[in-house]
Amino acid sequence: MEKFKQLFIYNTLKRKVFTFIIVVLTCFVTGFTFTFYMTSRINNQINDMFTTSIVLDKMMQQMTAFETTLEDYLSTKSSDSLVNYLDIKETLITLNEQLDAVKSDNSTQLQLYDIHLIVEAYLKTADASIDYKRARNTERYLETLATLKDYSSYINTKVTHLETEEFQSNLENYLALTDKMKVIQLTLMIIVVLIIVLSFTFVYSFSTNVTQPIEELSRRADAISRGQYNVKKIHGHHFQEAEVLKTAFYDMAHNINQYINELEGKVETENKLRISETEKLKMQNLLRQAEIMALQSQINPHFLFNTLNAGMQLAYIEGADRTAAFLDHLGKLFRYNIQRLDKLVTLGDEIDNAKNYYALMKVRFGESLHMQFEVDEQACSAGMPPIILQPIIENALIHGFEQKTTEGRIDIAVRRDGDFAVITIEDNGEGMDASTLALLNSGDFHKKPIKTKGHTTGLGLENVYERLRQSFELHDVMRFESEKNCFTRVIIKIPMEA
Amino acid sequence: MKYIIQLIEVFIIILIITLSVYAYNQVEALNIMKRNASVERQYHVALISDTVDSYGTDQFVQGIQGSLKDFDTVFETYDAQSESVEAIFDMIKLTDVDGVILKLDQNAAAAPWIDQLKSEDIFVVTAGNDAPNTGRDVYVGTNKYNMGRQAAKIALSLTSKQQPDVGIVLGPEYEQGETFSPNNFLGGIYDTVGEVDEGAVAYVGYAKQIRAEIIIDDVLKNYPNIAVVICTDPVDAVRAARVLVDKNKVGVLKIIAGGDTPELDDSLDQGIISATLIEDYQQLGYMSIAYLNQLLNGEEITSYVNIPIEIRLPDAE
Repeated sequence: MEKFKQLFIYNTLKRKVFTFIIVVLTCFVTGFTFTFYMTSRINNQINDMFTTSIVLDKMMQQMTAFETTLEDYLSTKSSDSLVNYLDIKETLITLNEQLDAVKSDNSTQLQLYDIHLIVEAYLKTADASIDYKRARNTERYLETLATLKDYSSYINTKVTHLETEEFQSNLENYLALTDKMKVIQLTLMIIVVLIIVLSFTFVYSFSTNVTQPIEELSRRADAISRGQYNVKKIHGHHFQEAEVLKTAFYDMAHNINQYINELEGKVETENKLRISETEKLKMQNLLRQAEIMALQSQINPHFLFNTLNAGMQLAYIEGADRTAAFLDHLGKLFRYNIQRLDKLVTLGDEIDNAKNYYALMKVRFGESLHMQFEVDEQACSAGMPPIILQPIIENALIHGFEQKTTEGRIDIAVRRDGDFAVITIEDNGEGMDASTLALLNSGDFHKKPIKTKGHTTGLGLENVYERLRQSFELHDVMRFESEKNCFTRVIIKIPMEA
Repeated sequence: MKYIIQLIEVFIIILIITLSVYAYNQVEALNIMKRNASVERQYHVALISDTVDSYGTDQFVQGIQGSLKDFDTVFETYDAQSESVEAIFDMIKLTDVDGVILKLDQNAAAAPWIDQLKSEDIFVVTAGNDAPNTGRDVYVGTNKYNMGRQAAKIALSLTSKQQPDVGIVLGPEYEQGETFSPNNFLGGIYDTVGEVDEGAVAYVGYAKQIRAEIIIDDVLKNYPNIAVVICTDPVDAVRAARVLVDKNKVGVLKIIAGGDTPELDDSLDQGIISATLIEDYQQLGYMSIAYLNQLLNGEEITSYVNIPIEIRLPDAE
């Protein structure tokens, strides 16, 4: 089976073409040989019908000549006549041997057997007549000559009888042959037509087998040219060259696909890197911006700290304790605000700074502002960028209480939530509408301009949000909750371990 | 599609093989020259008959042909009417014939030739009628005299006071003007009819000269006393029966026939023919070859073999 597959399925194209031609030729040669053989057999049978008649006819002719020559010899005794006699006798013996003479149950063969024996007797009688003539036994010579004539007539009778029988038989055979020949001719014609049809199917199968893998490969090559690299495999076994082409094609498509995937991966990585660098640049830009703003408010900070310390000592000397405390809070606030923004501080530092800011604002706003701190000390160790809470509190003072006539409350709560520290700054200010809230929660701080006028830090919410996001790489690091004319809540969630 | 094509290819190949075998068998079945299928036999027998075309001889030959295979024998027929008996015997001697079956009208007339054949060591069987005063080896046949008596007895049983006579239609083997042996078929009829007071053989017709239909027509018109006609040949009997049917005379004139052709059996079943006397010609032929074969094998055999006759009546069926 494997050898068969090797020969007819996995073979080389050259061998396959050769095998195909041999198969088709064998079909044709077998078909035409068979047709020729059948026709030949029929012809032989027809010839056989007349062979006996031809031999008998020759024999009768030779017998006539034989008798004439014999009589000629007996009357002249010429050597020419004897030579002729012997020649014809030889011919008659040959013809007699050619007869299909068998003592069989076939009547024709039996008649030929009779003729054969009578001819033998006839020839012996002819020889006897010559012997008697030579022996000058006239009586016996005439007797044998008469017997010869009788034998000749017997042969003639038998031949006539046989030919009558043969004619009848041949006539019947001919009629039977004519009838059967129509059927046989039709059958042979159908066989030839079927062989031609079979050859066509062979040609079709072969051509399909040869062209199909090439067609399939060309389709897949076209697909690859259109960017479809995941080519399906071509089913079936084909000749060796096609199998090599298929394998090479699959490998090529696979390699291209792999290469393109690698390229896409690289491009994606580069894009990410670019985005990351962009973010970094943005962050640096924000920090620079914040630092510029901080510097703008740091007009000679050493002069300001020294002056504020002198003012505080003066206030203590003069017994103005509230003023001394006020200046102390202000100095701490300024010191905290001028530090570098890219350095991390603790949440506790932020809370302290917020408290300093509250002490200052309490002097300004008096009883109309009340801030409450509820701090979980466990959360105070969490690291975070500086100056995060102060801008948010400033924002509440500026926007939340701008139109407010009643007491403004700001509640700052810090708690630990698992690996996170959650800071909540809630005011009972004017709140904001849903669209503004949605904008802020989506990280869009530009659609609606946020005022920074009046801020100690000069830093807006966008700056706070971006610094938190860049520091912790968290998108939901800060979110807003608010209800118009009711409250605004800012929730900051930072990891305990930054 | 691929599998459909393969299926078509297999189907075509099977069809081609089937048609090829069919065509080959057709050509083989033609077998125009049947000689190839022939078998060489041991013994060569010749039948000499002067009634080659008669029903009896035809049946006799069929009997011989049926025996050939059993006895490893071939046979050929010589027509004594178209060839002289002398020439026939000459040819028999020349062609190494082992035995001869003589079925002549009068085998006894061929006595000199029988003796000549015997001198050539050729066995001779006489069939149908005997040549008692010759050197023939065996006689195989029916006792014709007894057969004639049987036919006459049946005929007489069918006569009446108004129609006491019997007619006879002799088949083609009988020649008008020939002298008949007193112990043959006709002798049996005459003797039996002569034994009764009433009735006689009122008519003897020869079908070889006048067709049986004309004879029957003549009997119906001119011989009202004839009640029964005995036909020795089955063909004549069927012709006679046809005349009776055509003239609506079935039962008026009764027919006793010799032979057992299907037509005769039909006529017997229909009551058109009253009885058939069957001389089993095929059995005669078969037994002739069988006894000749025993002779050729050197066995001792009886020289007289009687083949019994069978009488069929409508009631007997």
